[in-house]
Amino acid sequence: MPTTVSTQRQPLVLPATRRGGIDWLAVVAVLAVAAVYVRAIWFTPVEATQGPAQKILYVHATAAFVGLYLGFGLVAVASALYLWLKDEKLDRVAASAAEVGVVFTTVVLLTGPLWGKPVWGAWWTWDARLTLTLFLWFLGVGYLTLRGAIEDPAMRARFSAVLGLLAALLVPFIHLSVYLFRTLHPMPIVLKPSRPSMPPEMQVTFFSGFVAFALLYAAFLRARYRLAVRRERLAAHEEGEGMP
Amino acid sequence: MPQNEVYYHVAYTVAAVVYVLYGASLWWRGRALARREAELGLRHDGAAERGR
Repeated sequence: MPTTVSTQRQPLVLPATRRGGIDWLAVVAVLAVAAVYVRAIWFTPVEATQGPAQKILYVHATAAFVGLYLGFGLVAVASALYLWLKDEKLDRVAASAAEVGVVFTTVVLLTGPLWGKPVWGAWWTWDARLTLTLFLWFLGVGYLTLRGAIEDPAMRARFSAVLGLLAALLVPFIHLSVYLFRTLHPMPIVLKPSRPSMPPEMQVTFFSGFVAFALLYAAFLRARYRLAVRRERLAAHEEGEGMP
Repeated sequence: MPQNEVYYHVAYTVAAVVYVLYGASLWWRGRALARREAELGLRHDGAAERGR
């Protein structure tokens, strides 16, 4: 870790998102998610044992992959790099990734019980996978609350980087919880060393869903990052620092 | 086969509602910022972004 840190503010650069006033990434993401909905509802076979409720997989597990693994993974990487490099951009990336990650984790926590009730006979059970995911959501909300509570930007970035890094450490435990503890939650059927345990039609829907929700995540992340840049530019302007 | 379509219909609706609400919150926050930027004479249009 470097012993000296540059405290010079960098120029605030907005990522270009619009061509002719349209955010094409968002448009493509929405169309992709709509296509996955259509494919999952009308063109994907129903699983014989669980019935139609098994189709919740395509919104539940994809949200978990994107929100937990991609989202909080990005929080961890950006936070660790921020603590090393002290680059404000990395703090903005971590904050944006955490907020969008919390949104996707919310979807995981809301759709999970809707799958659990018809299959397990219970909306919720305090087993390791579910409880750790709920803890991660609380940590994500805590991270965002902490950011709102600290006014000094450098202190806010440092404290939240530490919390973000520690929160993301839960993700591997969440993934491995089904191996480490006795749990109602099924074993991984896709993210495992052997081939996915699904028929090809279901695999196509699942992997298309993963791509579509990853695109949605990217669109949200970029929009949220832009807001952070504009908010900081506005704050700098209002403080009279002469930022353009 | 169990008849439990209602659960997945509700799950798909809930997921869509959460994503739409979050998208709307981003749009709403962007609009509030744009208003403030306009008051202060700051540009936030696409041309300005591409020029940076």
